[in-house]
This record gives sequence, C-alpha cells and structure tokens, in this order.
Amino acid sequence: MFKFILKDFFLHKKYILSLGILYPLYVGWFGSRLDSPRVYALLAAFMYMIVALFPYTREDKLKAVGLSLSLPATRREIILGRFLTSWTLMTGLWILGTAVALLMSGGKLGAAHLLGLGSILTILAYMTAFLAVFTPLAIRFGMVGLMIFLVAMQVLGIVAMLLRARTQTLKALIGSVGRGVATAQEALGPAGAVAAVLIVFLIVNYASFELSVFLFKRKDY
Amino acid sequence: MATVDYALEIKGLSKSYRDFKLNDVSFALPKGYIMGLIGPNGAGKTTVIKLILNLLRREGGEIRVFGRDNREDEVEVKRRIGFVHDTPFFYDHMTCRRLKDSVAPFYRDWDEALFRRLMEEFDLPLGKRFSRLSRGMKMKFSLALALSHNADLLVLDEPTSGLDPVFRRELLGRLSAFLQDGGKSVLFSTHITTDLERIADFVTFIRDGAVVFSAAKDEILERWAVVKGGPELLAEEHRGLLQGVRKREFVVQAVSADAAEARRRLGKTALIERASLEDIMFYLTRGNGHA
Repeated sequence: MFKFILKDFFLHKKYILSLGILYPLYVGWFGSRLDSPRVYALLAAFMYMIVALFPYTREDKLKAVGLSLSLPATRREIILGRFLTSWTLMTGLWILGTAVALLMSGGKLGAAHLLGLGSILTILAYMTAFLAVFTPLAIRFGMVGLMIFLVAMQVLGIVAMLLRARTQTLKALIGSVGRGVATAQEALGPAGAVAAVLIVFLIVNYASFELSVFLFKRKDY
Repeated sequence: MATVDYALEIKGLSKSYRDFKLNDVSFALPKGYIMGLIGPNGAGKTTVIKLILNLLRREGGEIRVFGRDNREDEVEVKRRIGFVHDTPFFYDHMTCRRLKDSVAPFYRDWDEALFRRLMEEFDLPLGKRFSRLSRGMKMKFSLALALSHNADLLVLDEPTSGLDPVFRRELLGRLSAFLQDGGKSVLFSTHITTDLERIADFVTFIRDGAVVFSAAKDEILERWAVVKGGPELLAEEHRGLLQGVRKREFVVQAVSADAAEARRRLGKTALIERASLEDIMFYLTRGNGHA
C-alpha cells in the first residue's frame, strides 16, 4: 500500500508541500487565538481534509484517473490507497499544526487542551466525519462534489442557526445525544469509552470506504 | 490438432452509451503476433481498448488475457499488459523521472536498466517536463514505460496518429523488435492502415461498434478486391458479391470479400484490383451497402 502513498506524493508533491506547510501554519496561528478547543478542532480538521482530498480533486481536474486505473491494481486497492494517503496527510498536518499552535506565543489553548485526550478524539471525530462524507462525494462528483459539500455545509449551518433561534428541538436533540454519550461513557468507563469511540471511527471509515469502492466500481472513465 | 495459445480473446463484448453501442464484438489475437484494430473515427476502437483495461465496465461478453479474465484477475492481467494511450493520462507538470518513479513501484518486473536504455535510445531527457515533450516524444515515453515492465502484450491506442512518418517508422520498427522476444504480442488500434500493412499479422475491422471482419492480414488482402465498372454492377445478381457500393453517373465502385468469385463473374466487364486495407475501410465506411 505504500506505493499508493508514494505515487500520490510524487504526483502532487508541490501542492502537498506548499499547502501542507501553509495550512498548519495558518491553523496553528489562528488556533492560538481561539479559546475553544472544539472550534479549533473543527477548523483544523476541515483545513487538513482539504489538503488530504487534493489528490482526488486534482486527478479529477486533470482527468488523470486513467493513470491509476492503468496500473496493476484493483479499484478497491486504489480507494484503499486513497484513504491511507488521506489519513497519512491529515495525521502529518495535524502533528505539524499542533506543534505550531504550541509554539505560538500568547496562545490561549495550551498543551493540556491541544494534546488532551478529549481534543484528540474531537479532532479525530471531525476528520473522520469530513473524510467519510466527502470521499464518496469526490469519487461520484469530482470537483463538483467538493462544491456541493461546501455549499451543503453552509446551508446546514444556516438551517441549524435558524432552527436554534426558532425552536428548541435541535438543542434538545443535541442535548439528548450528549446525554446518551455521557451515559455510555459512565457505563463503559474511561478506557472503554475511548475504545468505543475509536471503534465507531473505524466503522464510519470502513462504511465510507465501502461506499467509495461501490461508487468507484460503477464509474466509466 | 495443436491448440492455439491466445494473448487476447474477446467474445461477445458489448457496451452501450446513449448514442453508441458496441455490439457482440469478438476476436482473438494468438500469442506472438501483431493485430491491427482498424475502423473509422467513432467506430469503437478506443471503447474496446478501454474495456480491456477496465476503464469502462462491460455490459456483456468476456475478455481474456493469456487465459485470465480481465476483471477477476485484474492485477495479474494489467501486470502483463503495457498500455500506450492515444492521450496519455500523465500529469503534464511532472518530469519524466517523477512519472516513472510513481509508476515503477507497481510492477514487480520493472527493469530500470531497460528503462534508462530506452530513454537514451529515444533521446528523451529524464528531467524534462511531460508538457514540454512533443507528441512523438510523449508517445515514446509512454512506450518506454510500457516496455520497461516486461509486458507480454502491448496495447496501443492510435499510437501513430498525428506523428511524422519518420517517427511512425521508428515506432513500427520498435514493435517488430518487441515481437522478436518470443511470446510477446501487440494489439494496435489505428486508422492509418498503411502502418498495419507493414507490420500487422492480423487485422480486425470495427465499424459502428460491430466487427466487420477479423482475420490474418494476408488472407484479407488476398480475399478482398476493389471492383470498378458500369451501372451493370448494380444488377440484382451481383447483390451479396459487392459491398460498400459507390455510385457515380456512369461508374460504380465497390469492394468484394470474394476476389476470386468477383474475377470469375465480373472479370470481363469490370476492373478488379487488389484492395488495400485503406480501400476496404473506405468503401465499407463511405459506400452504400450492398449492390
């Protein structure tokens, strides 16, 4: 599988390196001005996801998917390679961004927040969610998929704000999910809860991977 | 009776689009030979090649490469095939070296020394960006990649279109040399039929998504003839003997798939000439069916 990561790195080296430096610097700097670990995690995960999905969008833009498909690899292996490349990139950027945020003088979020288990799980949750949603979209719709995703996120944000202002339903729903998680956490204990969360992340990744493979296999190039 | 080993066997292949249908395409390429896949633009040549490569999903039929199904044994099949596409799927901004670096790890039989030698022979600089290569150089680079993993079957989609005669000859020479290493085979799609007359052993002609014929080149050239004569060629009795009929005021021209029979029946009233592949393709594509 290493050859897939290597291939994507060679093919997109310039972009991965330039954005891979710029984005963690930006996230680190911006993150040091934030006082909410959750907002920081959301911002970081979103920015890193954009870099991680670069190979898809560039391949789509340059109509170069035929290169991957001409190589001795199944479509399933190609998608698995993509997931590995995405996670390798996101993890690398996350480490770099966290280091920048910690080194920024006057940062409001210290090491306790940035490196705490809660923060790590939160950022993993966002990265998992973004990747799980966007990867199938990128495979099915390419660059347009990215746009659909971004617009959908914005619309969702607006709808959520409107709903929040007009009704208590959304707040109650979020509250009930939160309470459910808290109850599960209590029942499982700290270690069990972390393991359960990680298993959920794996399941979401796997589901997204299978959906991506399904969509990729159905496409003509 | 000796059994024939096939490099490529295609049976009943079908694929449909909104405005085009590849219908029941069947042909076979024996090991160690060159087959030309000819047909006018839009006939379905690239569709067949993309189906072999699994870039397109087939709707019916079977594709076997060295006896293996191209979908069930996709990895092994692709390992044994070297592809040269009409429009290479390479990233324009990258150098030849980087492109090679991203492709080579996928092939366990990658021969780096052979690749370097081919790059030198083809006068290709490793450090040059792909976008700065001429069309001929791009084709050479694709060929160098295809040859460097010791492929047993080369599949080339319109490799000579848009190239000058010097390079075309060089490429054809290279393909012939490739075959000298026993057991290697080539499928070569083109609409430049003169290239095939030089090197092909077999020819498959596709028109409107269907195979018109698939046979040994010499047999085709022996069997087909161009028939030129007066309006009497349009007589009902010649129906079935002539195909691709072109009518002008006093002249009727067509091809016949049975040169001997055409000579026997029409030898006294019509001019019967040996048909080239181009003649056959031209009449069958531009003519108006049977007499």
